[in-house]
Amino acid sequence: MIIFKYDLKKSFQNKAVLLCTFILPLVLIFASPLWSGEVQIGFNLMAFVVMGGTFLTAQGILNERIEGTLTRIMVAPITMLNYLTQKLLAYSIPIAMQITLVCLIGMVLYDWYLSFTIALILIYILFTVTSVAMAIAWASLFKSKESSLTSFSLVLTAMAMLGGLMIPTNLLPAALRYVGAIFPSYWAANGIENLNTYNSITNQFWLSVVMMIMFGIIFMLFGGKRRLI
Amino acid sequence: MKNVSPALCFIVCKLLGISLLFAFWLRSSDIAGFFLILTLIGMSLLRQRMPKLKPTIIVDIFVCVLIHSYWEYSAYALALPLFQAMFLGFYPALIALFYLIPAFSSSLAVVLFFTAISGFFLGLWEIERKSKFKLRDQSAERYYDLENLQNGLTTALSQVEAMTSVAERARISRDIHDNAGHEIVAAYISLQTARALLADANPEGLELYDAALNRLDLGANKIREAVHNMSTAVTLGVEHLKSICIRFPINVEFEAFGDTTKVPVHVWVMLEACLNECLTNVARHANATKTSVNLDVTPHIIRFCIENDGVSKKSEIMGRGLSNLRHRAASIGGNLSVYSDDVYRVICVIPIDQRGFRNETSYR
Repeated sequence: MIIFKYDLKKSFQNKAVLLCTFILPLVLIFASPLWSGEVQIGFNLMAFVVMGGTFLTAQGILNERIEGTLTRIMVAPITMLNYLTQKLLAYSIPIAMQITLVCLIGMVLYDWYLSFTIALILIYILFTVTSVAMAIAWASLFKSKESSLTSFSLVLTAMAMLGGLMIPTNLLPAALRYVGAIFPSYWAANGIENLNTYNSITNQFWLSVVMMIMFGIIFMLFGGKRRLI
Repeated sequence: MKNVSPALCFIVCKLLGISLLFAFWLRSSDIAGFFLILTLIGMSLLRQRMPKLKPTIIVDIFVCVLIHSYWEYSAYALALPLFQAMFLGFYPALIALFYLIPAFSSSLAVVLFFTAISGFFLGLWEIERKSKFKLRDQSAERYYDLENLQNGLTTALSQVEAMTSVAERARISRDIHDNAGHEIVAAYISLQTARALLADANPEGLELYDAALNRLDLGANKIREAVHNMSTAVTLGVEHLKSICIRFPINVEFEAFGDTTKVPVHVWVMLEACLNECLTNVARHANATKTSVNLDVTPHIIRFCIENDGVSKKSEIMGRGLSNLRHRAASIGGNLSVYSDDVYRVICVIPIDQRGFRNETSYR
């Protein structure tokens, strides 16, 4: 678990990551207008922050690749699956812990039901893991940090727009309403919306959970190819 | 166009197929359809990561059939696993499809037929490409083997040259020591003895006689010194082989039979290379408890045998080193064979009465 420990330490040393994953969610949860009223945009904004944070955190894998650290690690008797699993855990755990804390604060502040809070934590944690897996898969496509960041900012916008994190999907034109389904953010938004609408766990919620798990597996399989080196 | 490969075409076709399926899904927006698409992508990536999981194509077909009642376009999704099955050469997948054919519409059957044909030809292209790569690798391996052999022979030639000059020096010094040196020393002793008989001779003549004796003594010393300087610092021939065996970290028994003076210098070089290679192989690959080396020189052939009792399954394979030695042995009219039964035995047989080897100068 050396890779896991090392990446965990590095995550806490990165100021941008600290801002995105620790400070921003806390700021968001205490902004009460975002969590009340008819359109509670706080839930989606939180998912957006999680997505950005995970991408910034997972940039470490690209750095390792550019610096040649990954090649040296792969010389050691470690499988790609083992390496990626440790990375996934190291990048996901701090964000997942922070999300759990933020949701518990939200439960106290906004009188959320316990089941609602647990379901919310579940969907955020799954979304975190899927986002990290996506960031790892994304890193396997690029050889430079700049091109990865630039192109991902475009994809992040598209994911937020079409995935329903910025605009609810039912407000989108009919032709674009379901296009966002190819992004995990769509299913996260879908799950959160279901929770908000029905205030209970429905089949639709579980469907979103399953879809996010499937996305996570697909991204890990894609990112786990040898060409990551 | 150089980088276009069947694998790339396969990925492009697969992406195209998935995009088309997604387009179909957008028309109906049925969640089962999206689940099917994700499953097909996941399974496809899994097979790409683990090629041994080729039979999981059946799972894809099964999921397509299962979802058919929930999503009408899922029958078209069968094209994806079918295409992959044909590309990877997993033909049992066709059996599952033949079973389903009665349920297909004619248009779907045409789509599946063309998909299967495309996958099949793409697969053939991949097989042909792989076989060409294999052929290229084999040719490259042969080329490198020949290059190694050439290098080995060039090295052997320079070794033979060096050894020949060393052996020639040894022979000259031995001849001077054994013949000229002994004669001169005998003459000197005789003249010293004669000196006592000439005590009453002319003093001037005696003076000249003594001066001649002194010069003879000086000359004999210089010859001795020259012989000493000419003699080689390294051991040669059978002594050299014996010293290799003694120096080797594993206990090696060495025995030599016959008249080793008949062995030409270039053969000694060959035998030394053979001994070094075999002993290194014993140390690296064999778990031997006993290793013995036998050199048998007969009037017509030299038989050099190295055997050990560390026999493994790998022992039957002749490595590159032994293969090169076989070529070197063949180049001087000999042969090298490997036997593996209860002991592992390398035998090198070299004729010594051919090509005028007898006329060559031998060390001993």
